[in-house]
Amino acid sequence: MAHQTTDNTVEQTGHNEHTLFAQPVFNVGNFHVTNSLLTSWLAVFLIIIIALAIKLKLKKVPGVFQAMIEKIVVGAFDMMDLVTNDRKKSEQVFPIIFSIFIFILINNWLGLVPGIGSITYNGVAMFRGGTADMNTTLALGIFSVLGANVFGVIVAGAWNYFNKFINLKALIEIPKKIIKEPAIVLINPINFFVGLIEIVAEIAKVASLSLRLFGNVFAGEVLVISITAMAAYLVPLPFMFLELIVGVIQALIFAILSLVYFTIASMEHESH
Amino acid sequence: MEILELFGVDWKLMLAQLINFAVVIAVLWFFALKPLTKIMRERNKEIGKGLGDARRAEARLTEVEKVVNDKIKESKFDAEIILNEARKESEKAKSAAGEKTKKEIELMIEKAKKQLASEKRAMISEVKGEVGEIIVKALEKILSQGLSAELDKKYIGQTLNELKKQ
Repeated sequence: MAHQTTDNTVEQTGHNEHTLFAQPVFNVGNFHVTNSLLTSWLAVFLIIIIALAIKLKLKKVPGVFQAMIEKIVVGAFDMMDLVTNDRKKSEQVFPIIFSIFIFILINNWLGLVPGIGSITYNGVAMFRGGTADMNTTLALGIFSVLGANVFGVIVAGAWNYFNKFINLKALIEIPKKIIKEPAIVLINPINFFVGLIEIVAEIAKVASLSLRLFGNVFAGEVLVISITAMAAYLVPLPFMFLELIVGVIQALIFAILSLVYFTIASMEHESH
Repeated sequence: MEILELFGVDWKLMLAQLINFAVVIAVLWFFALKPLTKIMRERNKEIGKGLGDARRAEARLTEVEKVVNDKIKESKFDAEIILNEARKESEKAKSAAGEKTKKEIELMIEKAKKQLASEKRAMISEVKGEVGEIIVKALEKILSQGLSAELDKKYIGQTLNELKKQ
């Protein structure tokens, strides 16, 4: 099935049109290295260089570069505190949330670099925005939601967290409290089904996160390419700026929603 | 799952992207964020400590200034007392020394007077003796040529009396 799609893409790439999925540039054995994966590798490479630059330039008395980075980090912390309301919790999830933001941001922007789509290899564009590929956004979405659940298990304990979805506690409670509160016979089965719905909600989170990001970035790239095809000079410029902003906003939304999921998962403990 | 095919979803690619992301987390955390947040925290602590130290130093400074001012006032007061005492003492010493020298001078004058008097007396008696002898010798020389011893004595006594009266 996947083979068929990739075969199709190879045929289509002769016209070099923007497909819904990333196209394989070359194969390593059974593995299709797509243009989006190449861009992601480039993004990872850039991030490594930036991180090393920070590491090497790190001083107690900050220079301009370090002051800028620190400003960003402090701003990120302040923004996270608005969601978590707890500096300790913010510090716990900060590396994950901040990495999500940076990875998505760099990937979004790399797809926008003018002319990056015109570098071709075997007639296939070598680079395509990493986040303009469902594989990337789905992987990130699954990671984010799974991570939030793991965080919830760590904070709330496995049994408590398990009962959030398969609410055995509610069922066990019925015989204990039935004399005091007869209404519990009705309420707790409802709670049990609410728990089951939570499982669907988790899957919905993955879908909403990954599809939103993919849709925005892919639409942005198509938009810029279409406008460029219509008028190559000056006209695409506002759209490029728009897409730069969209890149930041989508990265921010993804990171903040992930943070919200992490926070909600860790809050179950207190409400129970 | 036709929709996944439509989007070209491939678990191998997803895995690759997950690995990419894991690398990003690891690199960002170990190379950039961890040391950076550590340094920021240390710096915050240091700044806090510095501010605290500065506040303490300021408080201490005002305290010390107050103590110093008090000490200066006290020592001024002391100095005045000491000065007054010294003045009095020196005056006393001065007057005492003046009296002493006066007395000494008086004593010296008296001594000198006494000495002068006694010397005078001695001189007079000596002169008397010598004059007597000269007169005797002269008279002897004169009278040896014709005067009697009685007249001699009488005349000598008369002259001596006259000398005494002088």
